[in-house]
Amino acid sequence: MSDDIRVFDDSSGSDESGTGPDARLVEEELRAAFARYEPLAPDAGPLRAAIDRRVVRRRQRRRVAQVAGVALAMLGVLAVPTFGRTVGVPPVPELAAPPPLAARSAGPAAPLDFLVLGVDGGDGRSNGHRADTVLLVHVPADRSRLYLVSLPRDLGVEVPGHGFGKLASAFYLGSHRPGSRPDLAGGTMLTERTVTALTGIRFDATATLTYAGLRQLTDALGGVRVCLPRQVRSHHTARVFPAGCHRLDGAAAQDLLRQRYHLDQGAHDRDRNGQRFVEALLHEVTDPANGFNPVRVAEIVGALGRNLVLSLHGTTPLELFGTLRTVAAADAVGIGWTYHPDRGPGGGIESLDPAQSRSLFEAFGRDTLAEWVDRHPERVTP
Amino acid sequence: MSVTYEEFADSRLTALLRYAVMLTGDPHLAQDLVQETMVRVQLNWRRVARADAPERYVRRMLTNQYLDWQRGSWVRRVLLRAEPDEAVVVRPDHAETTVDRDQVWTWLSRLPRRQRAALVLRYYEDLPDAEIAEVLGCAVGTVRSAISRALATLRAEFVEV
Repeated sequence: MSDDIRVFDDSSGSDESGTGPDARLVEEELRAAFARYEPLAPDAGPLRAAIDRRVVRRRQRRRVAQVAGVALAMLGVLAVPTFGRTVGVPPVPELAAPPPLAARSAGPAAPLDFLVLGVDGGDGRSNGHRADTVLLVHVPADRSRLYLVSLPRDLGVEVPGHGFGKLASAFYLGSHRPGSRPDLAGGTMLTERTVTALTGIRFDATATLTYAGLRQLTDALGGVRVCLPRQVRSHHTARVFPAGCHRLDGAAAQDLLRQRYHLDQGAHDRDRNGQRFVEALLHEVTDPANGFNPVRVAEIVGALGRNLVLSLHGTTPLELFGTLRTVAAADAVGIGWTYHPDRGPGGGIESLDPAQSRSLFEAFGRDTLAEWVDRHPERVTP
Repeated sequence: MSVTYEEFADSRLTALLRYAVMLTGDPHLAQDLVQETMVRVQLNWRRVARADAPERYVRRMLTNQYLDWQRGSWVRRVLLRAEPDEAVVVRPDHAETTVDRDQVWTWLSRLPRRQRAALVLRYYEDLPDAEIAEVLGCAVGTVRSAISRALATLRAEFVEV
């Protein structure tokens, strides 16, 4: 290290006066100190395992974040083409709807709450529509995060005007019109009111997509490539989806997303497959190789017709889209439940821990989900 | 040809832990530092493996993590754990004329982090200045002046004792 000496000579200062120790002595003391402290190094074994555990958790969180962005982007993509024509339902009279986003844009940003519904039975064969997917999305005023809460379809709830039932059935009760076509806007409205009655949350917008809509969308995109971690066997058709990646057409995609009976965790695994599908679908839409532009997407979505319902409470789709675009990149926090399956007479009704769910829903209203998550780290989807 | 993450961790984790101990002076902090870095290494392994020398790439990641850590969590951790150091500083009863061996460690802990990292890279890792500059992301001249300033500080401490 002859270099070192030259460097050392470069340094100016009073310590060169000769009263200080030799440069080499300092260097030797340094080397000796480092050598003495080597045994302080902790054992690599346990650390290795800790790293692996942390990686697994981080990967899962990343996936949740992607799904959240996708769900919101989808809401935005779906909202744009409806600009100029009125889709959806009038505001619910007995609920004071939040003012339109535009009216609030003057001051600091307000927190936003969205409800996303996926409904089955759009094929006309089954007995009406039920909401299989019920997803609450909270965007705090500071836009720092997105918070996602999925409500289980089999959650036992009080449906306004209809008594106790499963959450999924609220859509049926609201949309069923004996002797005529189901009223999807009615189903959307009643489900929204049910969730509001349960949680106290008033939604700035609600989007509903049927399985038929999903099928059309998939075919219009030329199929969607979905990757499954393990085989799924259809309960409804002869289809078997092996583990691995497949390009699915609309009918196959719909078939896959209906399956919950042969999955380890039933509807919860189906929710995961749904997230995989939506993720793949958005990938398809945004992939430059596919050459989709907003006009083409607008055409596709316009063709969905009644299979898409938007309830916007006076917000214009363009405002909604603008807002969503700014928040879609934010980090998402998934909040999960401890499920309590009760085998009631109706079969498989689930309930939420009242104490825990109350504080969670209050945190939605007060825009204090960040603090809530700090207090309940165990509830954050790993 | 390219190594897997597992092979890399098998062969390099212990050395990285030692390096982190020299940087932080604290086994717990070292463990945190290596863990945070290696989580990112594993998540981005393909990119790491594509580097000319994955080992150097990771050492650079770890060093940056250490240098950036000072804001936020790092400060809190240091303040919580490093109080004994302060006690050492004011202790007046240093009768020995020879330098107390642990005294060197205390002085090191008071150096700016960048200077300390440069010292560790040269006198513990035995890297040439050009490589130190690469790890620290600065010019060779900057490395040399940082080291000479650090050594000057240490010499002054020796004089006082």
